[in-house]
Amino acid sequence: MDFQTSNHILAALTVEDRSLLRPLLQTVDLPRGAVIEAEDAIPPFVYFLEGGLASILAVTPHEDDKIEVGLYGREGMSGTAILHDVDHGPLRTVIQCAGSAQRVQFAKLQDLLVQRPAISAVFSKWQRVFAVQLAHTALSNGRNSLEKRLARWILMAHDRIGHELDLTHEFLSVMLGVRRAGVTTAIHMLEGEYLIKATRGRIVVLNRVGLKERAGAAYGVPEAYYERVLGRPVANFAEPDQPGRTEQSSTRIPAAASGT
Amino acid sequence: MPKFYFDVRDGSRFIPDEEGSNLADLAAAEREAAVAAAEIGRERLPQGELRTIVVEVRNHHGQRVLTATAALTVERVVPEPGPQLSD
Repeated sequence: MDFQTSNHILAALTVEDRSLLRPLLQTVDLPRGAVIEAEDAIPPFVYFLEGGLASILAVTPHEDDKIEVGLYGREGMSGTAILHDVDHGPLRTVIQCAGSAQRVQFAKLQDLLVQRPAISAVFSKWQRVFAVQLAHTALSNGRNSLEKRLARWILMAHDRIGHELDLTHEFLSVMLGVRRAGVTTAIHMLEGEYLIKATRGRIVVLNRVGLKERAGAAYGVPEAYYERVLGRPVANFAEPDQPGRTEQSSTRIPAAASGT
Repeated sequence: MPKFYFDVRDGSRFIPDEEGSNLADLAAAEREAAVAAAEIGRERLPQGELRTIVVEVRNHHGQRVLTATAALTVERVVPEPGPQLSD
């Protein structure tokens, strides 16, 4: 029997594959801070997010030396090490914005993949588009100003969460790999241009079109690749058509359209 | 661990820190402020409209305990006359 899910990877499977997977799935809430993949371990579960935001951190034995290298929400899944029969390696996946997910035991999914190679093929596509996102995060970290990187990050979170983002500056400083004072300054700059409104622990997107202009080429290339490969956009809402900072573009995207 | 607040003075703008950071001691706050000033300076100073970034650190009583300033100086120099080339 088929079922509805907001997770793009599950939705991309054939009806038959999805029905075979369904009895193995369990719906779980993922609170902020939950570690769904620990470094150098085989994760006990593979998660298909239906909301919220997961962040991949590159970590070293020095706890301070960590930086976010990629993120995903309901457009992705954890546990792609399953495709290679290896452990997770020196990366950590942490839930940054709470949400819910369908999860399946790693070992059970492994057994299913042996019988159903078409499932692996969908997972591989996701792994490929995610690799491209990681590459572009490296590009952005190396080449873009902090304000552009912040604009890119907010747009990526906006695609997955909606217009209200519960984020502390402390958290963003780990995400962007700079001291918190630098994040505060960059937020202040974007606020001064009326692109976002920041209050303690929360960022509200006011003008998505303006943010995209601010981010320039730092945002959008991996998103286009995702859409090309997986056949649907990362975000669940329609983009306003008109370019530039028109009155209309500065209206909030309604919560209903963001799918939350 | 004591809490420190890192306000940024960026030309005429003053950007207050409302969250604060827990750090081991004043020496850790000094390193944090110095790196922050250098990072913000790296972004903002080459744009040319300002020449100093000041990070002001307050303790949990709101008292200022240190400042870290990053500055950039650019000078154009008129070249000294070189040796005359003989024909």
